[in-house]
Amino acid sequence: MKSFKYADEKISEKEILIAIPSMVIGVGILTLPKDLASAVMAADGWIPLLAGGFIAVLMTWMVAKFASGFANQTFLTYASSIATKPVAIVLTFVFAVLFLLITAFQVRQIAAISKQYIFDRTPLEVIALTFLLVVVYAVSGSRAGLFRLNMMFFPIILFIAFSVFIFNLGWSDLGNLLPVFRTGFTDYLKGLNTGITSYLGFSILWFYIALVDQPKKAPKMAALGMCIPVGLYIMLYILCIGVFGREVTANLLYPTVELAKVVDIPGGFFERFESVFFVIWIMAIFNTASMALDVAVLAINSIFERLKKLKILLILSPVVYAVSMFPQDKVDVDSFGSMMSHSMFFYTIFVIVLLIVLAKMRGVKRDE
Amino acid sequence: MRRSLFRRNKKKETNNNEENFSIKIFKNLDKNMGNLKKMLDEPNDLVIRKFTIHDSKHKCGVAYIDGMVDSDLVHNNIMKSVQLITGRKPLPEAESKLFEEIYQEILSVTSIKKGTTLDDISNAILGGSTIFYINGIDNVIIMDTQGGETRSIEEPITETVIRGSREGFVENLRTNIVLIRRYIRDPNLRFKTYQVGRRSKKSLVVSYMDGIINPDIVKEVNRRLETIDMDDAPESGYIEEWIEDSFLSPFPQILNTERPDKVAAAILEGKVAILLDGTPFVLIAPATLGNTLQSPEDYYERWTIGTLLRALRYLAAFIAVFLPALYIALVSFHQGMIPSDLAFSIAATREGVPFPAFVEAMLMAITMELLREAGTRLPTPIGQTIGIVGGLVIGEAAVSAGLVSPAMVIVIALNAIASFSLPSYSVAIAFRILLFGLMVAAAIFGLYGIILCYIMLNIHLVNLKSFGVPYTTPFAPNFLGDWNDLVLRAPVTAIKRRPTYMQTHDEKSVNKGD
Amino acid sequence: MNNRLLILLCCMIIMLSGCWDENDIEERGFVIGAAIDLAEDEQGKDSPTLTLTNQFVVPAGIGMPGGGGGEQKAFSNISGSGESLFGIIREMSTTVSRAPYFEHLKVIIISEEVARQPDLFGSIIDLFIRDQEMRREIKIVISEQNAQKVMKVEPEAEQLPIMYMNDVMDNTVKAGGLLEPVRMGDMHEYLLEESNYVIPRVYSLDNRIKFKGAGVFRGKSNRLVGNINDDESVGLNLITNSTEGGFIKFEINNKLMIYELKKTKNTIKIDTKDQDNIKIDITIDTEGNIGEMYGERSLLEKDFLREIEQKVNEKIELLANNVIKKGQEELQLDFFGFSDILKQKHYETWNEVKDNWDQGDNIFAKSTINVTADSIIRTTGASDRVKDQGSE
Repeated sequence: MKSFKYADEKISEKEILIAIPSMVIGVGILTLPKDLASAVMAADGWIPLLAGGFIAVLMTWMVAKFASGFANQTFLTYASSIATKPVAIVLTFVFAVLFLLITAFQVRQIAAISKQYIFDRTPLEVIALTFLLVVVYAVSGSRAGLFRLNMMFFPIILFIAFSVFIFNLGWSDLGNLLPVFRTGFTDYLKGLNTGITSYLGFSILWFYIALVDQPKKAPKMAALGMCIPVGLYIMLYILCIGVFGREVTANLLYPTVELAKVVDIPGGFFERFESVFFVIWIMAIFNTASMALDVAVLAINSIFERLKKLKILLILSPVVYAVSMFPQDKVDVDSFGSMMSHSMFFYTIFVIVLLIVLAKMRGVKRDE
Repeated sequence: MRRSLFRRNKKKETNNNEENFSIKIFKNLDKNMGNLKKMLDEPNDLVIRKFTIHDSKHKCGVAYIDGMVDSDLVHNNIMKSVQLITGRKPLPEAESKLFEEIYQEILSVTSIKKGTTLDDISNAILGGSTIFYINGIDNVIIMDTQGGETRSIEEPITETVIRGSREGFVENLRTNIVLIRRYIRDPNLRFKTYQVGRRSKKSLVVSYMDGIINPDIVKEVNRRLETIDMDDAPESGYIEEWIEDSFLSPFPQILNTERPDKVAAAILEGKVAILLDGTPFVLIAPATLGNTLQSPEDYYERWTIGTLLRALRYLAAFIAVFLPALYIALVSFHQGMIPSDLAFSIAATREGVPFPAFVEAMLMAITMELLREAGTRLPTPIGQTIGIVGGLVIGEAAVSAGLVSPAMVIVIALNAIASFSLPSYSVAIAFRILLFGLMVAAAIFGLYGIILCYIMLNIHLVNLKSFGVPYTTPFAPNFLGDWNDLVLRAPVTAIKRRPTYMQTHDEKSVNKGD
Repeated sequence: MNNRLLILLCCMIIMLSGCWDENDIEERGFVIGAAIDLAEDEQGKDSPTLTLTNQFVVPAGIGMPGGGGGEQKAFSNISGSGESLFGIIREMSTTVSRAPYFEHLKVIIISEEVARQPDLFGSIIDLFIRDQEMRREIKIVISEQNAQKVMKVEPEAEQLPIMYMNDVMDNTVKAGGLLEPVRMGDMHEYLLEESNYVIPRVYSLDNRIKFKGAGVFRGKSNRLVGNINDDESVGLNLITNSTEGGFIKFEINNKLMIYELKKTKNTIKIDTKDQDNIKIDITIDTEGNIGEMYGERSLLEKDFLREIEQKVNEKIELLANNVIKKGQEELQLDFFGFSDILKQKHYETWNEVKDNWDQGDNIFAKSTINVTADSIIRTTGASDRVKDQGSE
């Protein structure tokens, strides 16, 4: 007889498949086409996006594969068996800090973009606070609940992204995509830098694999899940260039939201599709923020096992709020974001390499 | 965590009053009769008949409560049998043998048992049984003669369908069980009886299908029912509130219905039905969000119609929860989202309305609730009048007085219609509660508030469970296979399996031959 | 229990915070059109003073169906002057009961006078792109006369002049084959890419609005440099492949005939072998039917149809060549988008010529442009002939 699946807090591999894109797709895509278009010529941005995506998928697979070798062990447990306890604690702690930064960045960005598109006078602080409270409410619930939220929101997010795509097809001009392959090599590297940092978020696997029901299937599912944002990003980027042309894309603050601005809903039920688009996109950002905060809580919890989850959450959330309110203006926020994503990227590589090499050297057995 | 609140007042074993009644039955008939009278304080509907049999050697007595028994049965099958047969036939002298003889052969009532304590007697007699005493024996015979006036089976008022069975449950538990049995003639259909209400001692029956249902659910239902400790459970609503997962959630985690066909279908899906004596409302557990928007009629009409009705209901649920909030958000915050021509004409109709859209909407929504409440409580003819007076006169007058804009009247009316087109009243009310919350959110943050509320609603839903089954399944956790009976109602031939989320034993429900 | 507490907390904080952005619809002053003129008195100053006239919707004037309305005008034009548009709008807010609200802005009319000023046009547009309330669909037109005047027309069937104008614009494009209006989104592109553009011109006649030709702007300076007439705009549309309808009028055997365009497609090939004499080949393929004829010959004769097609081709080539001639000789400006094609398909060449394309050496003016038209008559209408050929 099958066991009654629901009672435990295990994650199915289907949920990992959805969790990865839910984590990756957040505020990044809203600004991505702008950053990419300022680096490369016309539609050439798809090359760094694809290359970056390939690296991201590979890294996702590696992280998942490595972590799934230690079934039902938390990151701290297997990291300490590989690289001694103090090192493991430091590694975990840095991850916690990075994930807190991600949450703070999402909170800040959502407030900034909301102010741009739906509010005029409402203070930034209040918008951010209400959003953070909702995130905290989600994290205070069950962890399985978070994954179910991904499941509930992800189809809606995909739907809205595709409707933007379809409604915009009529406005796009293929000529804008030309000329192709005219980007210099260094520009490609610059683009790759933007491209790869936009795929961050798969590091949640370090922590979540421990909760997966059948870890054997997880690497494949995670890698598959990573392909979704790659496809989506390339699609939206090419659409941006097609509709706006490279110059305009590079100059718009949030080109992806502006895409929705162009849309004219057939039937004329409502206008200003960009507000609707952004409001729905809040769900995507919410998913990213809540998972990042949850992983941070999980990481801290594994260090301080005595503390209750809720207590940690209540201690961390004011910190997140304070950090998110720290940057003064748009430029600060941008540099905060790029600092955060770069450190996340290099740190993840560092941890992969460190753990793999140490595991080989010290001959730590993974249960294959 | 939530359940601990109830577990705290788990059965307390001692009770002074009751101990008096658990005394043994005496051999003396008069003393027994006296005890019975004393216990019930000689109510005038207590009928006690003393007589002698076997050439007046043995004193006997019969006791029952008038009105609760089937008097034909008492007269024909008890009194007549005892008095006539004992006169014709030689009977053993010894009291114990006589008692056995009467128990075994003479009394022609099918449901019969022996009782030894006063407690047995009181429970039985108050439940409509007839007690047969015989002098010199410390046992009594308890015969089930339950009868009396009950409502006949009628069409359920709360859940009428155009096509489908017209039978509805009644207040009588036995009739209700019979109604379910008529739908499912399977030997594995189980009826487990509990007694609830420390004072009322009502019967409660849990019905499920052995071999289909996941035993964990039965165990869980059993565990929760065991914790019930209250004086009385007048309606199944009491039971529902006691055993549901989260009493703070606006969403019903247990469905209630008056329709035997709905109960039978649920039992076959691997759910349990909880029947309580004295109410026509039967509980069905576990329930999921999708279940709350289903009606039996979806299955009786052809599948295309069924699917369309389902889709319509999801739309209705959306309108019932979101429409006024969206209107407030658009009119008070995001005027740019309204198509230009419409925006100008809404602005024109709102010209001179003194309140902001939120106050206007609250005003109308509360009026709507009042009308609904007034209409329900009043007798049908007056209720209709209230509907007409309220709907037409107040709506019209409010508009011409410039208190509300015509657009708002349309929005609120549409919203009310949508919420009452939902198949279950309790779900409709739950949605109306959410509506007010969303209106407040929309008034403060516009669309942003609505989406945050929507996210919060989802967070609440994904954390909600009904008897261990996540409330949002099969959306999340995702069981794509179950989607054929969710928004879409696939053809009967295509719904081959019972819902996966119920984790049933016997998965297939059609075409088992192949 | 803690979840619940959090919700409560959440709700309370929200409740306490109040509503900042709430602003009921009837308190908004919907601006649907904006006209920009030079302020008359203060010309000659360093930074020119502008007059901004906003057309506000007066909802009471629109009225409910069945009830009143009509006595009041459905719009009011309010003007203000100043050096910055933003300043004008802010100042305007202090004088009107409903603060201007631009989310329903449809059309911006800019007078030719303003457009001819150096460096002014681009700066004006800036506000309309930067401000969040503006949409990318706002249409921009040039007015021959005072721009305010255009907004004052009182059309008979419509209540709002701007809405009327908006509809007329669509009809002009579909029926007349004239230029499509320039949207704010396109404008943003032109300004950033420094490409040359054409903006339709409008003028008012009593209570009507008419579109006539278009103004040609130089992208580098964002300045109006010349005008093209209706025929030339049809030609331009044929070259840039943006024809949405319209007709070609031509004569055959001295009898007038109308060829209604249904479908056009063109291919532009640029030969960049010789940079001093770039060859541009334009092929225009059209499909259409006979809309009206004054002659009496049967259209079912194949030879006659060929002849008509020949005439149509000649006419199309003429229209196209005329506007090219104007571009190459009179204005010496490439407003046909050839530079985009060069950039997209001949990137190396473009990099070499871009500084001397339509300025400096002006390679554009020296290049050879060939137009070939190929027309097909699909149907001849419901009847072959309407009039008899007459007795012979």
